[in-house]
Amino acid sequence: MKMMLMRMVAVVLLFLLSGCWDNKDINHRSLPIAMGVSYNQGSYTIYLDIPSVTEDEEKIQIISDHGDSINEVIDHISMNMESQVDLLHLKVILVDKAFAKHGLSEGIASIIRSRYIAPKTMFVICDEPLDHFFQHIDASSTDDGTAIYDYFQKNAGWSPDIAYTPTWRIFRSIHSYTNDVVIPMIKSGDSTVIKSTGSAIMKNGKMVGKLTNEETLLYNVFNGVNTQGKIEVMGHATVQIVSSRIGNRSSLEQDQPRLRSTVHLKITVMDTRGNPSMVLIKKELQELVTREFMLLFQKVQKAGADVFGLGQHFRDDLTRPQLARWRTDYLPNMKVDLHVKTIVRNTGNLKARK
Amino acid sequence: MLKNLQVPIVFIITHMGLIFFLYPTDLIASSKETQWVPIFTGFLFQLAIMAVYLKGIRLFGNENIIHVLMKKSRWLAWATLLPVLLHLGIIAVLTVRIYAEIISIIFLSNTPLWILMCLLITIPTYIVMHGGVRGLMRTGLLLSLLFLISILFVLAYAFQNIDPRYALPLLPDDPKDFSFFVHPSYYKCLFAFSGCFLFLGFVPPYVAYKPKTVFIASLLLLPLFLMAVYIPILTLGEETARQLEFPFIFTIDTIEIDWLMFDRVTMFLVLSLLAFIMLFISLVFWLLTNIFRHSIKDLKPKILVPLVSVLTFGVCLFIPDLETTEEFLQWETILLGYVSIVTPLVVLFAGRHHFKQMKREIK
Repeated sequence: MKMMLMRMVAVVLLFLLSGCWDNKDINHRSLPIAMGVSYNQGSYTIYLDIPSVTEDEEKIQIISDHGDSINEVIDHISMNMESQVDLLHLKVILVDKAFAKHGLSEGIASIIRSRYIAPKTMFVICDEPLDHFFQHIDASSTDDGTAIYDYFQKNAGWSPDIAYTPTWRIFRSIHSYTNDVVIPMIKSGDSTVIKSTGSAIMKNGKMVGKLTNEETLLYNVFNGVNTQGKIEVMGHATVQIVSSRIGNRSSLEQDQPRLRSTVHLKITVMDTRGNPSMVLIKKELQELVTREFMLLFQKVQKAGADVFGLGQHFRDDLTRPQLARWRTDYLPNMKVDLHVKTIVRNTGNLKARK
Repeated sequence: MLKNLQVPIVFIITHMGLIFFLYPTDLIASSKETQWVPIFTGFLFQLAIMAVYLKGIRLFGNENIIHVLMKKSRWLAWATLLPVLLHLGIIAVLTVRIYAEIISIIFLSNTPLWILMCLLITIPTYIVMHGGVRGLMRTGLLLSLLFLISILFVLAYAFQNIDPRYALPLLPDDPKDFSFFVHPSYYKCLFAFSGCFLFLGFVPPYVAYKPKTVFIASLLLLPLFLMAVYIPILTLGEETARQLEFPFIFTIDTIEIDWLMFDRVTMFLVLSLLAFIMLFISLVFWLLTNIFRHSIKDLKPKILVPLVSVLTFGVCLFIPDLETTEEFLQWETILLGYVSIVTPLVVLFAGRHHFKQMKREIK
């Protein structure tokens, strides 16, 4: 009798303690893969890209609505849909340029606070009106609509001239004194679904400038992202960067920060024109990278955004209140000496002139 | 072999449950740079009180604090054990309430709070009622076998996005670096250091252990204390980590593992740590009932344990929000300080006296 009672209690507990409270089955949830947020004078328009896979067809569904806050719009969409919108598996957030220029800090804060959206979610700026972009995606998608997700996956369609910026890095950029980010920019392509148009320089969550795809590649190399990027050298050759390593030495001379950086590049030769010597290729590559980088640095310096995290090198030299003024007082005066050292690891299947 | 390790393992894993949630938040709130200074201070505090406590316990021979104190003087026993009893009661309530809220914030946001508190109380009650302290220790061993591997895996991956330069400057050069001593949050995070060493004095003669192994176990905790604070700081920077409610858990959320089929490794960590917290709660329940039975009234555990858990649950229901809970925790630090300084000292003196008495009796 007692044993029986215990068993019954155990069975009741099994149901009570399972944690499946108010659970909604997966077929009653909509799992958007991308969310578009456009901003216009205090009101948000949200687009959700929901892949719907059934037995006989794979298609995507684009839903949009507008309101005064992101959460309000999502609730509104959820209300009007037959299933509940669940943002747990959201992979990409697209915002339009107007929103990026206005400043993302509030949007990011509500994402971080909500705990429904993972901090790993990719952040992307759309270089054209969002409605046009989503119409294009809807029209040109032939598969299950995950193109936009695959485009930014390191083990799928990502390539080294695209910036890679999860939401938490932008959150860090908003609060950190010495770290800013760049966000990839895309628009709908002509023959492909998506086309990269470079990346946006963000300062404290606000868009202040733009980098081209080539500059983004250099940015990735300098930040130590393991790239396999290809660089065209002065019409003589195309080389591939197989690995890059940076050594930095910082010093502070009368409130002027100086950084001596040495970039070690390991390259392989992809193709050559007019049989140039390896010495020439190396020399030209070094000149090219140095020049391009200095231009890039000046651009970033002018925008006042520390996208390379250069202030990180001076954390030991500056006090905390000084660091808080890093972007305004120190970064504009900063000097960078860049040295590029290259090693040609191999020249492929063909021998090359020494 | 494994039997001797039961107590040190329970010591480690109950601390692990406490380290990764509130402690980083409070520590980061209390100091702006060179966070290792407050961490080491807290750690040395833990080592000091444990050294005194274990020394005293060793002098008891194979006897329990309650027996020795009761034999010596009832008055002394009351003065020592009553604050401990009160402290444990408050700890039980606050832990259940805070961790229910943590579960709700991190992953079960639709589940009503009372059912989460029920979960956090029912399982420890069951462990204490059926296993007693021996069962509890065995459960600890089992939990560590089940969960330590996944925790270590996640902790190893937590270094994925770090930037070591965020730790700079390394050396404190400003008197402000020691201002954590006057910051109330710092005393709140001492809970992670001295929250659960008390049980060591109450488990003999039920479970035997060597004091040396516990001491080694507490040394093993040092890297965990450092990681819980430094991983968020190195990944996000101090200014950003300060904004977050649970910086360590957030940092774990940023880990990307391409080859793993699970998207959110945070779940492995959080669920394992919750199992450890349940063990901690059962330990507190056991201590409460044990002290009550031997010093106030010897009620049957079958009546007393459910009584304690129902009482805890009832009080938990009356706490309206997380802020109030943290305020209570702030006030509790006074009692915590008293208990963790006075109890080891009393135990040491009583131990000395007891040891001399035993020697005389043998002669």
